Amino acid sequence: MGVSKNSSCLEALRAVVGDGAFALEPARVVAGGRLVTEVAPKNAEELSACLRALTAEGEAVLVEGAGTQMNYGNPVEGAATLLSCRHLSGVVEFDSADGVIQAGAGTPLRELAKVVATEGWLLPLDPPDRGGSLGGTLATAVSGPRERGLGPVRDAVLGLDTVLASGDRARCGARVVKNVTGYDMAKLYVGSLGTLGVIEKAWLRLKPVPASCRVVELEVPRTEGAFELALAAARRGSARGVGLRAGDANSLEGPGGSLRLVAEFAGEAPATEADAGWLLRGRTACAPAEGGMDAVRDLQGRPLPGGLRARVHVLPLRLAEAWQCLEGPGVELLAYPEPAVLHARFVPRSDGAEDFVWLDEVLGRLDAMRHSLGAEVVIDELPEAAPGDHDVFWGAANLGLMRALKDRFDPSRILNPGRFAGRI
Amino acid sequence: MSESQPLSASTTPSLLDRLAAIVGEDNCLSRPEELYTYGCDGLTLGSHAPSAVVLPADRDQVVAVVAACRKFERSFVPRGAGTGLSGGAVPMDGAVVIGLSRMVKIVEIDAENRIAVVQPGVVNAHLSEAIAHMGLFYAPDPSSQQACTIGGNVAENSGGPHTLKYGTTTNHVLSVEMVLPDASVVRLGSAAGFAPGYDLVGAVVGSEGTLGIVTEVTVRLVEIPEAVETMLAIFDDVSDACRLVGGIIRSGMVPAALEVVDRRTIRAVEASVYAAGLPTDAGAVLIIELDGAACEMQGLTDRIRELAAREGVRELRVARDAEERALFWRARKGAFGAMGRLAPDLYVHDAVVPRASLPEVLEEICAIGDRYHLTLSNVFHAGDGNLHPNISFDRRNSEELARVVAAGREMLELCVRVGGVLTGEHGVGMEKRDYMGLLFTPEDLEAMRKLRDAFNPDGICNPGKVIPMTRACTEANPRARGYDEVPL
Ligand SMILES: Cc1cc2nc3c(=O)[nH]c(=O)nc-3n(C[C@H](O)[C@H](O)[C@H](O)COP(=O)(O)OP(=O)(O)OC[C@H]3O[C@@H](n4cnc5c(N)ncnc54)[C@H](O)[C@@H]3O)c2cc1C
Ligand SMILES: Cc1cc2nc3c(=O)[nH]c(=O)nc-3n(C[C@H](O)[C@H](O)[C@H](O)COP(=O)(O)OP(=O)(O)OC[C@H]3O[C@@H](n4cnc5c(N)ncnc54)[C@H](O)[C@@H]3O)c2cc1C
Repeated sequence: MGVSKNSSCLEALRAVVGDGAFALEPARVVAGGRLVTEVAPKNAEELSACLRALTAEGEAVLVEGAGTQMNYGNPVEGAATLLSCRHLSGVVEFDSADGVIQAGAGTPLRELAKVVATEGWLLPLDPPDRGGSLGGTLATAVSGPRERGLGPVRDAVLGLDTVLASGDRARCGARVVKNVTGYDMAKLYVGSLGTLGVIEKAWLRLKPVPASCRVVELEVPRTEGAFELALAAARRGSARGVGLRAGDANSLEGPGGSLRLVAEFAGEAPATEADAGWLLRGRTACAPAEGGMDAVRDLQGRPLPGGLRARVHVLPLRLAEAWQCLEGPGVELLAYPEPAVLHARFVPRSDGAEDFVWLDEVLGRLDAMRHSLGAEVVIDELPEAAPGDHDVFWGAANLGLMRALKDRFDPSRILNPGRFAGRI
Repeated sequence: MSESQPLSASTTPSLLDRLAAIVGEDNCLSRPEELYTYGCDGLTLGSHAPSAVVLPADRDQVVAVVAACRKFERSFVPRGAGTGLSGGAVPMDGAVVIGLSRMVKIVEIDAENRIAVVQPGVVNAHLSEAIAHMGLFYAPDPSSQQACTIGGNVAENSGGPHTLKYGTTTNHVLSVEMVLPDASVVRLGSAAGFAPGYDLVGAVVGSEGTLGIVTEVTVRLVEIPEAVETMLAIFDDVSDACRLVGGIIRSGMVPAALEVVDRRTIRAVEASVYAAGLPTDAGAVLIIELDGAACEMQGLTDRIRELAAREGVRELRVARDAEERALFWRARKGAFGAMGRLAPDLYVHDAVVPRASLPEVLEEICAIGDRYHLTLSNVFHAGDGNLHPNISFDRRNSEELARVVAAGREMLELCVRVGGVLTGEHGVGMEKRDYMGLLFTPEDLEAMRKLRDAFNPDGICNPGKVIPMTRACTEANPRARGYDEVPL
């Protein structure tokens, strides 16, 4: 990228947002991009004008929310400008009677959760409390252990205001909880990792804070059907989330003999009591680990520098088999029974710093599961120095349709180019 | 926008021969009396005869039919049971109707993983009937479920009385197999519940048959709840019923259903074969259905009772058994039939407003009906804010029809003004296509066009639906595919 091009881009952005655009000195290296310019629009008009200018300059951007998960996805291709959404922040409208809220993409989730809690509502988005923004959470659309009760990320979204690469502002959905007026465009933007449009603000549907919440933790010998028990627990009426992990949370090499089951029941007190009672019948609870389900959630999202983290989606009855395919020394596993997801953490092996034999072996095993178990695999984290050019959104089908969408929404490929499935 | 010229309504004989060769003579209809039924769906305001109707037996026949239509540059329209209420399955420019009613196989039921794979012509209720003995059901339950198909449900993202708790079709579809307008076959999504890349299943559900033809659907199944409690709250005033709905939502309870039947509907129902013993002097009844664990029912019922008393409920009946539950639902389910007796035609409107604004909006809707001297009644999914103002009329009276249309538009404008939308479950189709500008800017609509064009670039599949034509297109090509005429 030539210096003159960068400075003309900066000038073009300055003309739109003034001090909101500035040179990054030194350059910031993130998500495989070397960024020399940053622009942080303060409202939708500015965001739209910025994208219009960037399109005119043919300048690609890396979109950022709070920047806590910028390593997720494939490396960005040829972006020298960072488009930060952090100033698109704040609650626009909170209708507590209807249980809906509209907020800017840059709003920290922590702040949103606090606002809605004051009126007895719960934000059905549940990433680890690391300062992520609403926009980043919607763009990644990764669910946690409470998906069973909170629903997937896409279900929380009622309406979106987006800005497309052309600078056009496109709204979809609305504030109401049921709506089929036109195509369900929000489904496209949610989980598209910022490659179709920049999310500017969103209407969310809230959940009531449950009257009662019970957490049960058990050590379950694997011979006694830990997976069957976990699935049955997840299917209890008040189950909000169930997680299974290797016996000792702090050891990477679990005892192998038993698994720790964490179940969270939320709802009306008689139902949570009954479900907790059902799970404990004939079993002894172990002392709950600190944090209960939050600890499970945080484990899922805990970074593993130099290692590999993968997410494996399978049918519920294949979870045990998936677990068996991956377990072994240096592997930490965390499973949710329904929807069935296995989170696998492969600790880097230091058998010679440049030696990535272990990585090839792990990738091979994951690939085999795609075929033998019909699993869908995403790599949440790949060692930075890993050789080869592995698409972390493994084996995405229908790339023809996906490219047809990308070509129409972002014809010059200026939004997060290369980051998503098929390096779109 | 489509570049091609509109096709004449007469059928090219060679296309007909080709279609008959693919699906067999018996499954290829072309005589005017055979085509008549396929000229409209549940929205009976206007009829557009197709040039032919084909009833393929399987996916491969759908592929061959689509390829043939493409070869002869004839547009085509998928059709399920034709119960749609926005004209979605109406062939707009002499299109070929591709009826999926012979593809009725339940391909697989995997009770342990709680999924089923069905062909698109499977009738909604048949799936739940087939799995009831396993303790499972398919949750989306449109009131038309005895007739409508799962393919049609996918296309409309249909909901039903129990959407409040269980969500609409989009929450229950894991994967679809589709024949695209270029006759290729794709499988979108995954039974595992996640597929890398864009959420194409999410985009296809609710796309009203304009992105391709769904030939197989993988759905999620849900466990039949242990206990159900159904209550009937009788109010002097419909506003109080709506306020109770707001109170229940606010309290954090999530009932399975909250359905309001207003006075005019009660009277029509009580005068019909659907009579359920409701007091005809009541302003409204609210059906409240709770489901879940048996142990939580008492507590929830008590809280509802308390909230209802606060809103001045006249009487709160709790169903003692399944029979009484069915009786409570009878007024709701028989409403359309009963209203249909009041006049030759019934126009079922469909709009959504924020739930807190229900009392005011309802009052204004009735005022609009009165101003236009129309017979208007309301039965609706109150828990979702999804209104169904129903207008009884006679379409042969063109002056009355004009009033029906004008009142309908005013009601939609009102709903949009309070933050609502044009449709909650019946779709845009051709009925509301030209009202889309009430809610969306040209840029918003352009984004939808981009989605349609990625799947259906030349508009050959179900033309003239959902997205209004741009002014530029109208000027350049006044008879662009499917935009010949909207009967409203
Ligand atoms: C239990 C749990 C664990 C999780 N673990 C992980 C994890 O390990 N890794 C992970 O990546 N996510 C994870 N997530 C998802 C997580 O919610 C988000 O990644 C996080 O909240 C990001 O917020 P952020 O503002 O820091 O995003 P950023 O890091 O700023 O951005 C994340 C991505 O979103 C894009 N983006 C940000 N804002 C916008 C916008 N306004 N419009 C369009 N695109 C935008 C960015 O380009 C980037 O690609 C997890 C979620 C849960 C529930
Ligand atoms: C009395 C009555 C009550 C109703 N109650 C409800 C209700 O409670 N909730 C609700 O949501 N709706 C309701 N409806 C509307 C209607 O029943 C639904 O929209 C239903 O989903 C339509 O299904 P269908 O098989 O009849 O589809 P059709 O009417 O045949 O088609 C509807 C649309 O789907 C498309 N389509 C059909 N099959 C396919 C396919 N295989 N692939 C791609 N596109 C396809 C068509 O092109 C058309 O655009 C009601 C209708 C009536 C008459």
